[in-house]
Amino acid sequence: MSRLPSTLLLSNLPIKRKMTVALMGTTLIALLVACTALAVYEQVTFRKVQTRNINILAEVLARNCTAALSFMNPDDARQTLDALGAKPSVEMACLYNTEGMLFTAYRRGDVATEFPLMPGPDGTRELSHHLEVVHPIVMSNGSRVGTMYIRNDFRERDAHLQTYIVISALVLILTLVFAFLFSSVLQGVITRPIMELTDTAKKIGTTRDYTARAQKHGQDEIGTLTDGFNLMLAGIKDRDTALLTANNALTTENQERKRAEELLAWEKGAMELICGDASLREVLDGLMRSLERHSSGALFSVLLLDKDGVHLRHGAAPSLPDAYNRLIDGVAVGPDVGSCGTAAYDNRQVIVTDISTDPLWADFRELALGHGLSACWSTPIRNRSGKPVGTFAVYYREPRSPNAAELDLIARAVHITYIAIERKQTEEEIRILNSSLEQRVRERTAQLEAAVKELDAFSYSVSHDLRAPLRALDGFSRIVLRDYSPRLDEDGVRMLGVIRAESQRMGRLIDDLLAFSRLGRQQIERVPIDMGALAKEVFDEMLAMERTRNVRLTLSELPAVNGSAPMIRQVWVNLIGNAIKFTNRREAGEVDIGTKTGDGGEVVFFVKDNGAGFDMQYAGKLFGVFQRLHSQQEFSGTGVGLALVQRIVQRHGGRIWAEAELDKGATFFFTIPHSPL
Amino acid sequence: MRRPIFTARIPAPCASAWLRGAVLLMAGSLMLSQQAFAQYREYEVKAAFLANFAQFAKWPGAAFSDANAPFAIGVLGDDPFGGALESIVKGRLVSGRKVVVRRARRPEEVRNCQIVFISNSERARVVEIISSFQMASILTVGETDQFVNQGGMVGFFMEGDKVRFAINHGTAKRSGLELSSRLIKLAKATP
Repeated sequence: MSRLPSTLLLSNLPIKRKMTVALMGTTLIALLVACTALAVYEQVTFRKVQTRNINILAEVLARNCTAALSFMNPDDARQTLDALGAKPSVEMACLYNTEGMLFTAYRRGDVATEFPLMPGPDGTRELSHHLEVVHPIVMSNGSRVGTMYIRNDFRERDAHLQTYIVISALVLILTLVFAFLFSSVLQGVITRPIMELTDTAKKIGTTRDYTARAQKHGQDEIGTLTDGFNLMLAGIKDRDTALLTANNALTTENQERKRAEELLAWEKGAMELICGDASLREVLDGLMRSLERHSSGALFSVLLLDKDGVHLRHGAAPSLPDAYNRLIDGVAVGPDVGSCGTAAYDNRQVIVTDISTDPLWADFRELALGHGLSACWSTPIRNRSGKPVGTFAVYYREPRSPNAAELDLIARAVHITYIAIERKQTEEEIRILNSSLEQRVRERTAQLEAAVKELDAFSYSVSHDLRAPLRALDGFSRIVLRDYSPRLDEDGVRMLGVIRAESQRMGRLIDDLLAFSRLGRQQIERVPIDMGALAKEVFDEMLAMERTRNVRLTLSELPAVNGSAPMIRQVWVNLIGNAIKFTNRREAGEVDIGTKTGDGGEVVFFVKDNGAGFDMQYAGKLFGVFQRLHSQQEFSGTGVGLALVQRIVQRHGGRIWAEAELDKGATFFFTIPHSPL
Repeated sequence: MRRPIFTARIPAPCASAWLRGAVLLMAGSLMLSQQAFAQYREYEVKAAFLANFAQFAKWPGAAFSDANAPFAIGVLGDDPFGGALESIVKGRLVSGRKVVVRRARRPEEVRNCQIVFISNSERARVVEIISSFQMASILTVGETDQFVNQGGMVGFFMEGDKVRFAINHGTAKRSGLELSSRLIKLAKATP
């Protein structure tokens, strides 16, 4: 991040360039440093030398001017100073006498500066644009006769520096050129192996040919790198091979899995087809078609063996020519009847890879070849006991022998086909059976309904017809008792009373029977019924008729039901009536009405008493018409009541049953399932 | 990098002292230059020249009586210099010798001098005097016309208001004196 772009640029350069850059850069820096150092040294030295030279010049001039100064001859001094014309770097030179007055002076032609009026103190001064030397003029005896002033510009020095720079630049350029040439040669030696290595790596990168090897050029680091690279390549090649093998295995496995999945999917589809409503022909046809979709080029056919076990019948062959199918249909099996006939006959798989040469097909060759069929592999379809029920055949339009996968597919297809055949045949049988059964049930029901109707009509008319003579019997008995009782003895009166009571009982019986038969015809109109209130009301009514009795009622809270109000009321009337009736032997009768939860979770109403009870072995007879467990003398009743109750409960979709023990009381249970209004 | 690498500081008193000195010197030299050539009268210049000749000539060892003998400048005849000569030579050394001024009327009195100035007053006897110094290593200086032609070594003459001199090199050479070429260069060429 912090890298400069230039560094990035450098890092992307090829090694060849990098080396050149490094070498050139190093050379450049070294030369620059050396040249700069030399230039500085050169300048310093030059200054020293120059200063000394100017001082010497001043001294020489001073000596030559002593006489002129001593004898006040400025012209002569001037001549001496004029010699400075030979040294162009001197801008001006002045002579001052002992008083410090300007004695004479020299000025270079191009200089316009005024002469200094007075010399400064003795010494050498380097100013910004020139060097100033103030030199004393002393006689041999040490007396000072004047002062010499020389101003020297830096022209010389600058020229010197310029020359130096030019030479340095030339040297620099030459050196760089040589360095470049040298680096070109040198980098060839170093980078060629690297370039080759890179090329090899690139080539391998594109071709993936791990057998390629980089050529080794020497024992240096690059040589080691090359060895390492080659070693790595060998490793990669091994791994690549292993990977390829593993990949192939994986591919094979994947293919197998895919085929298995396809087969599974086919089996699923086949099973769905089989379980559907389609007929055997349709199912087989669908199976063959789906098989053909899965295996291109194959034509599938199923032939079914007749019940006689001799003739093969057309099952399904959606892609075989109809003409062929028609001719094959009904062919008799035999030891050399094509593939299928032989397979069914021998009960073995018959693989004919080339119809045109196989002797089994001698009789059918023309037919098959005429329809473009060249190979036929037939497998018997066996039932559970191993007997053939048909054949499963695969045709090809070219000679062909099956591989393991195809044989496996055939085996599974045969199995599925068998399942289809068996299932569909069973279904057919069941269907036929069912239809005959239904027919019989319908007939019987019709007969029964007719019988019941007749019976109802009969009992109705009988009851009606019986009423009239009964009424006459009772009426005339009453008249006899009213009009002729004085003439009758006690026995006669009692007997007439018996006749009357019995005829009245018979009338009640007839009423009950009429009610019972009516119940079969009545429609149920459901309304919500408060069972608790109804039970209480019925109990009170019933008890009111038996004023002498002492019966205690325990009534639990009862849920409401939907039902026919008069019918449910009849249920309670009968059950509570029974309970009161059968406790008449007890000092204190007890009737318990409540609910419990049944096995199926439904609400079960019960009516329990502590009365006479009954033997449970007769429980089955309880609800039959005219079935009585007690004599008329013991407990009065018509024997129709419980039958009526059962009929009502059943018509409401419920059940009724009883539990009892002789002399320990009885409990009657019933359910009224909930149903919408 | 913003900070100066070095700070060059010239102490203020130093600079002001230098400045003050320079101003004083300039003022002085101006005054001098105004008066100099006016005041330098001819003989003051000639006196200075006379003393200066000692610096540009070499005498043989025999010219001096002993090692400690002073360098003597003789004035023969009327002294035109006044005290100028003495004030010039005062404290001056020539080849380590003290410089003295001797005045005389007769040539014998200045025989042991190294430089003898023959005054204008001796105009008539110049040839005679010079010949009396024939064998001595004496630099003879005169101011009469034809001085060098009459055997004198250095003869002053005026060129405008400037004092110039001529030298008879041959005579000097013959007396064993070595004259500096610089001196000769300044002199008016002898005929």
